[in-house]
Amino acid sequence: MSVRIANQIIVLEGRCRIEEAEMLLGYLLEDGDRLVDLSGCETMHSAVVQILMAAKPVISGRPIDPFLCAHILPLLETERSPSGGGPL
Amino acid sequence: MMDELLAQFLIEARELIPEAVAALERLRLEPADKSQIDSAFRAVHTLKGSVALFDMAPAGRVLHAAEDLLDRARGGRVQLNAASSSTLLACMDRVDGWVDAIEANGRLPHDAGAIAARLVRRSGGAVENAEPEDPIQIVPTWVEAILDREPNAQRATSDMVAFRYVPDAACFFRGDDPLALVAAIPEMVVLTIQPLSPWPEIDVIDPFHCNIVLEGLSAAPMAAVQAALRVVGDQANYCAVPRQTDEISTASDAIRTFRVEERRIDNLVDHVGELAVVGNSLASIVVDAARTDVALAQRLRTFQAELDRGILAMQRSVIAVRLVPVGPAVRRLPRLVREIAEGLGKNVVFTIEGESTEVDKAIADTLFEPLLHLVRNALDHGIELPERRVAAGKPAQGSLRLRFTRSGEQLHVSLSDDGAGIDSARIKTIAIERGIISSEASALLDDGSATQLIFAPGFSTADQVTDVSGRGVGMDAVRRAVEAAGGRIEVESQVGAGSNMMLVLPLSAITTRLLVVVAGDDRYAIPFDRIAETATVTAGQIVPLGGGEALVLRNATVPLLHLSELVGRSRTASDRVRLVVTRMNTERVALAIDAFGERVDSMVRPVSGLLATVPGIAGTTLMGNGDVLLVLDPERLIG
Repeated sequence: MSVRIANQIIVLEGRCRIEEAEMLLGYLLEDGDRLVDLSGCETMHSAVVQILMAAKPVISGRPIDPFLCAHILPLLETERSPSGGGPL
Repeated sequence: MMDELLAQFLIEARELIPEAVAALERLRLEPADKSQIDSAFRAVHTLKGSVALFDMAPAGRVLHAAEDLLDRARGGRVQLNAASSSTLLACMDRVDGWVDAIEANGRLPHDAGAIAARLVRRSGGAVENAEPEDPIQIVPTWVEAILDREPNAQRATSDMVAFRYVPDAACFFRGDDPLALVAAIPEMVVLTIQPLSPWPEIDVIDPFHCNIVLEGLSAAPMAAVQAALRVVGDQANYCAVPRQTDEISTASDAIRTFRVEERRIDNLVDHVGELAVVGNSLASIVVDAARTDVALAQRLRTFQAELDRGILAMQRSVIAVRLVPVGPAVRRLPRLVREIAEGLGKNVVFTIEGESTEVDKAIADTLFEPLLHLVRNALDHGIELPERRVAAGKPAQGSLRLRFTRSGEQLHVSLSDDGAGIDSARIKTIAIERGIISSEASALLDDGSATQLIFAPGFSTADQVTDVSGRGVGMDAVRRAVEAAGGRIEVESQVGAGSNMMLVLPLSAITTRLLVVVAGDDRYAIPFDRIAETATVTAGQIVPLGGGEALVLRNATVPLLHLSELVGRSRTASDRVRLVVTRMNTERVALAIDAFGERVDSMVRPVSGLLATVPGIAGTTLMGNGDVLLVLDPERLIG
């Protein structure tokens, strides 16, 4: 399972595929204020990125993959994201 | 709406024309300089586009011909030479004149069509071996948007490829992952993902409907970028972004700018000035507070210090905002020099140095008129006719050099020519003839001082009033203009070798709010920020104290001094005493004056010469009626 809830935080881990997009959306619909932790994330399907961009949750943690870190993380970090970026 | 468009056009035209002219000037010397050809082409091309919006078709035709010629030169299909560069320069000068005409009259002069036809023929004559022209490559707007997002100047070092990939909405169902495809593009410099249409609310979003646009910039070769997106080739666009030459990259690395109406900046200056006055009045409150509550006063003092720092920082920033390069202010001079020199049959090279020197906008704006007059004078009376120069052993071509340099808080403007110079003996004779100076006084003047007589009112060295400089305004008008801007002018000259006019101007022209006060028969100005309060008391309230006088003002004893006595005059007796209360360290001191005058916002000029040694004088200021008042520094005056 690469999308799960731990301590009210949505955790994305490993390879997040298209199927995960729907589950992620479900968790965010339940509670839009939930943090999303990306620190264990290796790849992310476009559909997952799309949900994160549309829902703009607070992001925590930096993904493992350098491409995600360099090009995708900046698109997702909102003014609400903690500046430190470490896992909570 | 039209007016706004026109105003925008005028600003743009006056940036583009000098750009083109500068490049063409350099091409006259080095006709094969590729970067200058490019630079001239770009400016002409952009200008041609803007000109089309207004009723100035002849300008459009001239620019089209110039652009055509430059484009052929760019493509190597035609070689520019000194003659064709001069033709192009003539085109730009003419368009420049027409832009002025549009601004002044809203239309071109009647002969515009005929002149345009002549210029088009001249430019066309140089391109006899015409070939069909290449279409001009236009950078698509999506590429421009990506380039804007490129944070570093990496484009200066390598060629790049911009791509834009718009996956179709159903691509997820086919198993496409656009992000994975894009991630495979090597050497990604910029990647952005944006929604194709605005994101819906998340409770109605369809997670399997693809709604993104992926755009970016890669430093990899075109083939490598295309290979990565091969499977979705029909949904992607590419554009090669060639490495930028140094010149262009300076433009793109330049600090982003936007235009602000001057009035708004002036408002800002005013508000900061008012804030400074408020800040100053806090000082007296702190002193009052210290009498009743030391701890509160301490807190207030800390607060006041912070406020002062903030105000000072704001003043500095506001001054910086008003700084502009002097170049645009004198951009019309080169054309006018060419026109005037041609009219006089003189051959002159005009150079401008230090155009990027920054000065206050108000100072830059005052430069043009005096400089134009000085330039006319130099061309008319300074630089000799070619045959006369050759006879004197000089090159036939005269040189006129305008140079801007910054020296501390001053702008130095020097205009030097290698002409005939100023004959001081002749200057003296004329000055005596016109009653400016007596022959006895003139005998005492050395050559340098005699030369300065050209700035005296009523002096004009023109034996005959010529079309160029004899317009009833002499060098004294130039001097007045320079002095009104807070500057001064000096002349140095050597007979036979040339003259140098030196203008010294302040870099900043921020005005100071002043209160005019009367003491005896004299009027003085005191900066508002040095005044804690003003009051009027009866003579009976003044009591002797020690060797002097004092009065009780708001429960505190304040020493009293008479301004007339401080400036070396005797005081006038009066029943009602008007006071300006100022601050000496933390103590209040009252200055008795005879009357309050007006409040003015004026520029305070630093004093020079003898006055500079008199303590208590902060400067001088020029009043609207032409009076010059001393600006007092009360603190130093009392001390």
